[in-house]
Amino acid sequence: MSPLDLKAQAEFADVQTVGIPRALLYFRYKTMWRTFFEELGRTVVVSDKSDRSTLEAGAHLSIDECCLASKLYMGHVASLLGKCDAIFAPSIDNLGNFKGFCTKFQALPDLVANTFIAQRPRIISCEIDRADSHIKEQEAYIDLGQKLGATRKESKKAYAAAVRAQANSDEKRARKQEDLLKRVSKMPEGERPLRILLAAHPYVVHDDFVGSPLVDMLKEMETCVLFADRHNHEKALEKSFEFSDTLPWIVNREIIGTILDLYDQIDGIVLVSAFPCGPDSMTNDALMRCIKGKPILSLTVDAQSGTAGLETRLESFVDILRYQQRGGYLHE
Amino acid sequence: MSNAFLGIDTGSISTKGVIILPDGTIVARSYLWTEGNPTDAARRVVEDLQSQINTEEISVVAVGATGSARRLVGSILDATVVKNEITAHAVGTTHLHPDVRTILEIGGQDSKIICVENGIATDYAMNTLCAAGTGSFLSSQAHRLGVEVEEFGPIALTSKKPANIAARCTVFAESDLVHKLQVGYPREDVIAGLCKAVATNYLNNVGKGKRIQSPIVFQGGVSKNVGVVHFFEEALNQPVLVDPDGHLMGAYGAALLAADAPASKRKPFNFDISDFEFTTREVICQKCANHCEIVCVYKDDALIDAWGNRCDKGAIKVKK
Repeated sequence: MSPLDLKAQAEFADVQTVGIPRALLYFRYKTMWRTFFEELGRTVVVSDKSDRSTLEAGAHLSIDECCLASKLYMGHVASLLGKCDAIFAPSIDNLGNFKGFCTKFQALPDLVANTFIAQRPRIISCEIDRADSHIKEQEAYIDLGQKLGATRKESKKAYAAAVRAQANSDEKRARKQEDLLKRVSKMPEGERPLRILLAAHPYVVHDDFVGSPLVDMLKEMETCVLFADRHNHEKALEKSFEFSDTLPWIVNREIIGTILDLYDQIDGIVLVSAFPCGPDSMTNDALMRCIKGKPILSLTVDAQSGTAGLETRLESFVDILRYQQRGGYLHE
Repeated sequence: MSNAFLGIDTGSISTKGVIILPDGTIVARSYLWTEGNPTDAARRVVEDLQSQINTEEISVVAVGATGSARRLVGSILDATVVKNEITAHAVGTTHLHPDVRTILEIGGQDSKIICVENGIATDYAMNTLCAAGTGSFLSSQAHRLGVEVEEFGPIALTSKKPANIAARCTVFAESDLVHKLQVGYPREDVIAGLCKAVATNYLNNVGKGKRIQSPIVFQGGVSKNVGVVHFFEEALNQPVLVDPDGHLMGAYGAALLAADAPASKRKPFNFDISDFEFTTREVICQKCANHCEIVCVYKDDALIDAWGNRCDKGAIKVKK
């Protein structure tokens, strides 16, 4: 018996086009979400890539205290208004103990509803909270499928296909990065580019407005850029318990686990945090204190900062790694 | 005729310049206020440096630029090397003090710490978001107290009991300072308190989590303040070295890097930049919603450099 006692009403049976904001957990679940809705015969519309106007719109809609990433989210929601029948904003609290998400993700459907109270967009949601309410991910999506008018069986099938598609895509990316790292690590020292692990929430580092400029800068400096989220998630999660028994957030755990897993194969770590990220403020500080012997740079991106300050910091960091390898600043 | 190399460090508050010989000896020094106009400051520094050398005997063949205006000044002076200030400072300081382990730096608007091992930087940190405890903060407090900021250090050393001032944030420090004055604290105790707060604030923020090992070199404009030096030594319980040329280390490092660049890149530097008009214009790119602010630098009417575009759509070609 599902912990969601009442049988779901097919209240969204008429929704044909589902809008998904290209922000926050989209960067974790994009394949899964698209597959799920498409399996149920829906059309998925994803908002355009972030640019300055997305952030400006989002900042205007949010209170100051919200983090940069959630401001972007609101900008993406705004851009979807009128372009879909309903917006998908799930409430994802946790996938179990020590597999929690930032509280922001739990509050999303309410935040969207209240932020756009004048426009009253239809919001499709589902609640995933295994630790407290015993609602597993699978149950939540099956329930959601039924709200969209599918049978329990159809929903279950759509969810299974969605999970499989996401796992395949994750595995492919992880393997691609693994191959790259192997190839680069085999190169003779001196020719080998610096291997830099970008350790950040996927929605920060893969966002076109916030994260991409950093990736571009690092690539322009001819380094090999690796992403913490392009690594086997289960393995990383397990590994993270070597660092902390109590850390509650799954994404931060996966980042930490990846750092530990790749520790011997990388030259430096760049932590990027969207100001003011609650989970990062704790875990990144802990990482800075506890990871010894590997150069770490901690960057904070906010709405105000231009790229000049970030460029100086990245350049200085890459210089440190390069001159360390070379063993001196000036030619003899 | 000896080859020489010019290094220039254009910061938000001051602009520093040196000319060095191939062996690293400094033959000309300049230090003046940027006054919000890095182009003009660079011009004045270059003139000042030129007046100190005999151009019949010394020929500048490469230029290195650093500091927050490095890109602009670098393109105006057609620099061989444009380098971030962390690396420039590390290069300069380790050249003069090969055994240095920690470099403390407090400038006009920023402060940084560089940890060094075997003559190469291994780690660094910069202040983020706010300028509490930097040179401009001390200047504004000096103004409030009616004292020249240069006198702060000697006055601070006369205090027997520095006042306790919270310098975590300039706003709090200022109200704390006013309060201490209003309840009748002697001026030297308040000034000493400020200097002490600068040192402890730096160690608690910029220096947080860093291992500060000897030898320690302190530089940047604030290192000229003997009061702050004293409180650093007190807090660290170790001697803190201040080089007479400490404020020039960024420029010195830039000059060393220019000297180290491939010889094929050398070309005689003309001190004639005053004959040209340099202007900066900002163009807002309209090709997408990012509206990048592209900085265009013109020498007389010719575009010599442009930057600030996030993508190729906003790239402005410079005819060379």
